[in-house]
This record gives sequence, C-alpha cells and structure tokens, in this order.
Amino acid sequence: MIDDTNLPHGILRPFDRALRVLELVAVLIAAIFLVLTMLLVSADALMRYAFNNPLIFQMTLTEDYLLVGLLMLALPWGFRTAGYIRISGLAQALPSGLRNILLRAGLFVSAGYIAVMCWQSGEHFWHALVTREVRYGDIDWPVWLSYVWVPVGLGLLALRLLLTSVGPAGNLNVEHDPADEI
Amino acid sequence: MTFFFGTIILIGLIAIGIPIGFALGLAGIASMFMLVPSNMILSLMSNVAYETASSYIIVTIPMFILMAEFLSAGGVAQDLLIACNRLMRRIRGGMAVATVLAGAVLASASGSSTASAASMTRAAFPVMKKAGYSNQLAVGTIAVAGTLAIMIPPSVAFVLYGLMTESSIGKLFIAGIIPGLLTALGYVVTIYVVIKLRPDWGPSKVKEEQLAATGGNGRVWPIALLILVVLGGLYTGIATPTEVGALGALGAMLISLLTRRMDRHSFTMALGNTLRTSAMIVTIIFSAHLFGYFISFTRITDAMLGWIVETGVSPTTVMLLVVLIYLILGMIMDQAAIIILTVPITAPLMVGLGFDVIWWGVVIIKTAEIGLVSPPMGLNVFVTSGAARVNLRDSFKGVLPFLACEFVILCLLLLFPWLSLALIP
Repeated sequence: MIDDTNLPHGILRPFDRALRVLELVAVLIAAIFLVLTMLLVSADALMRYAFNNPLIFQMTLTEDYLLVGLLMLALPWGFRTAGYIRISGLAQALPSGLRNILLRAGLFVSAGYIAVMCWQSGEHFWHALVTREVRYGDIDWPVWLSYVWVPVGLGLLALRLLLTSVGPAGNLNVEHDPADEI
Repeated sequence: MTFFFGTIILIGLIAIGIPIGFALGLAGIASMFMLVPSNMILSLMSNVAYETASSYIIVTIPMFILMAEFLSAGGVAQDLLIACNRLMRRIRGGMAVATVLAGAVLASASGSSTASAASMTRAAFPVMKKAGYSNQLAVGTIAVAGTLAIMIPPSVAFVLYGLMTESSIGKLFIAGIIPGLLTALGYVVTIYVVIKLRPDWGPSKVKEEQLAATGGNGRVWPIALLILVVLGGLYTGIATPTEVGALGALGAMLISLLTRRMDRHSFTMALGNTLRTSAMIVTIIFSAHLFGYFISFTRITDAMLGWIVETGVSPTTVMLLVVLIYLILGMIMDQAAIIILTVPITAPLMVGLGFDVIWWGVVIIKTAEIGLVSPPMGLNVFVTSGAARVNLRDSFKGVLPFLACEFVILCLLLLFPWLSLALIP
C-alpha cells in the first residue's frame, strides 16, 4: 500500500511535488497510448481480415512510437507506486539501520545506472533531432519522436530513484499489495 | 570464475532488497567490465531500453494484462461461476468444482494468474462460505483455480519465456492446452478426494443444490464469444498473438462497459494496474538483456555442457536437478523473476542436452504454477487469503492437497513430453 504521508521534508519536498506532477503527466500520456495501441492493433486486424484492407501505418506507429511511449513513460510512476519485484525476506533479517543504509546505497547506484542509460539514449534522440533523421516508408516517420520517450522516462525514473535513496525511510520499504488491485 | 563473480553481485543486490529489474542491470554491467571494454558496455546500454520497448511482440504483454484487468473490473468471474455452479449443482463439492471450471474458462481469456485469482476470490469466496465450505478448502480451491491462467493460453508467462528464448509464442500457447486441462481435471479429482476424506471441509449436497438454484443465471455468452475470438484466432493462425491480445482487451473492455459493471474508477484502475505491471516487466527485461550479454561473454552454457559431457552425468539427471532447483526457487521467488533470471541459462542448456525448447517451456511454466501456491511465498495464496481475510496458515493448509496433485501432473509432463507437444502442428 502506498503511504503518501511519507513525503520528503525540507528542500526535497518541492522537488518531490514537481516530480509527482511530471510522473502523473507522463503516466496519463502512457494511458492514452495504451488505449490507442489497443484500438489501433484491433482496427488493423479487423480491417485486414474483414476487408482485406490493413492500416499500413499501424505497425510502425505502434512499435516505434506508442509502445515505446507507453512503456517508458509509465516507468517513474510505476516505481513510485511500488511496481517492482524484490525479495525483502532476506533484508528483513538485518537490523533496520543497516538495511536502510544498504538499500539507500543500492537505490543510489541504481539511479546512476538508469541515469547513464538516460544520457546514452538522450544522445541518440539528440542526434536524430538535429540531423532530422527519418524512417522512410509509405509515410516518412521522424525518428526523434520515437527516441524521445526513452530519455524522458528513464530521466524521470533516475530522479525518482535518487529522491527515494535520500528521502524518508518509510518510502524505502514500500510493497505493492496485489490484493489492492481488487 | 567471472560468471560466479557476476552471480554473487546479483545475489548480493537482490538480498539487500534492490528491485530485481535494477539488480540485473547493475550486476551485468559491473561484471562486464571484467570482460569487455567500457565503450562497448556504454554502446550496449545506449540502445537496450529502446530496443526492448520497440519490439512488436512486447505489445502482447500490456494487451493480455489489460484483458485480464478489464475482465476483473467487469466481474466476469461471477457470471462464469454462477453458470458453472448450475451445471455442477447435483454433485457433492459442486461449487468447488464449479470454481475450478470457471477458473479454467477465465484462464482461456486472461493472461494473468494474479488478476484471475483476485477476480475468482471476489466471485467465489462469499458463495462458498455461505454454502458451508471450510476456509481451507475455499481459499485452496480459489488460489489454485487462479493458477490455471499461467498455463492455459493466453499466458503472459509463456510470452516472457518466448521472448527470452526467441521461440514461437503461438506454439507455446498451443503446448499449454493439454497440460492446462489436465491440471484442471487433477484439481477436480483432488476436490472429490478431499471431500471424501474430510467431509467437514465441504457442505451438504442439499445446501449446495439449493444455493445453486437460487443463484440466478450467469451471462456466459459475452465471455464465450471472447474465448472464441482469443482461442479461435490463436489456433487457426488467423491472427497473431499480438492481434489476439489487442482484440481480447478490446472485447473485454466492451463486455465490461456493456454490462455496466465497469465505472470510470475501475477503468482507470485497470489502465493503472496494466501500466504498472508492464513497466515493471519491461525494466526487468531490458536489465535481463544486459545480464544476458554478460552471460554470453562468459560462455557459461558451453562450459556447463562440456562439463556434463566430461563427467558423464546423463541429460535426464541434469534436467531433473534443474527442475528441482526451479521448484525450490518457486517457493521463495516471484515467478516472472525466476523465468527472466534463469531461462537464458537453462533453456540453451536443455536444448544442448537434446530436449525440446517448447516442452521445456511447459515444464518451467508448470513449476511456476506450483510456485504460485507453494509456501512460504505463493503469490496466489497471498492474494486470495488477503482478499478473503483468511489467515495464511489455513490458506496454505487448504492448498496442500492440490500441491500433491500438481506434483503428479508435473511427473506426467516430464515422463510424457507428447502431452505438451501433441497439438503442435
């Protein structure tokens, strides 16, 4: 269960609020992309089998744009709402002080790992943008619009990981209870 | 040696509670520094997230999860249960058997065991309690009925296995049919035996019959139509798994909207749960790719195969040992994590030893199904007992007879591979 009372204090609080707004905007766009993907793939299948007239743009639009967007933009919100798998049983055996230090260190390093990936993917995006790279086909697709979701999603995730690693201890051990889904 | 170094880092990170998605990536990168130049690692990192997220087959994951979430929001499980209950009302333990049947039917239109168990608990537990079932048998039956969704296609677990081994997801789905139906049959036999041995765990036949008669008629035509689309599309080859997933999700949404059971809140919840789970899975997959690159650089599979040949251990012994490891891992780890963590090593090993990759997929999914209800970490038991407000001890006690049945079916699948491969063209 997510406990929103574990908000960071002091200087971190406005940072956390701003990040939450960005995460919500990102996941809202991801939700729209999810519904669009469902409708588009279904429409293409129906048009192909019923009328022998498939949507020629569907596969590129879904694979390179909507899918990348829906998965990457959901990353930071997914992490904040405990959308991850971890094994907490072993760590529970450690004293809580030591456990929290190790967990903070691990999340801090994880933030670095994701930040490097964000930087690297950002370079791809920037190169595609400045060179006006396009993917030729029935429609000429701008490549930067496909890449952009990766650095945005990973960047927000890196910031969330960083904030969690230095934030209140209560946010370190959040578990998503599957029963909440009912 | 390097392989063990990487594995120790991974285990260490997982042990301190780092999410598996990040632990895999960190361990993979740290270990690769011992094997390849840093610019090569950065190059791998630059594209792995994009390459993973822009793979068309990945669309199946959010689509099958979305279908399960919409069906859960639309209370389809309740309709199925009412209909199955009317069919089974004349036999003792009929309501428990109806729960298994409804679980099997729901599994044919749902790719997520957890979502299936959650729906089944909401639909079945209050009725089973009213009829006079013990907490143990009620929770045990519902928890295992939910696991059928991992084996009976469409199944997200098979998609993950197919992605990790680059094998045909369509063939994996078809391979899951007979083992899934066999499992459902095994559960029915188990219920019969349990009620024979422990009559106090079940209600009287008269009471069940009365309740079934007053339960009304469940609307089954919408779900029947959906199953026709999903299974028909898959088995005739008319539609790809991705298209079937999208059509299934759309159908589930329409059913839930037209029956006026899904409001704005549950619609938003369904989208949120789908995005959360999909984001979690994609993080694990792209990090697993990084760890997979490290495994490839170590050439550990070749080394293991060479070692097996040298020592003269028979392939069957190795396979049984690996199955045993899976069963032990299933008791303590999440099933999706087990598949993603281990399949890059075990699948090439088994293929190298001469076993069929599709059959091995069925065996792994079977061990995952067992893991979903194995103490102490059986996720479906946690979901069911949490939603039914029954303590975990009673819940696991109720699952034990079904676990015995699961082991018998696992042995059958190991002894007779054709049970998994017979339907594949």
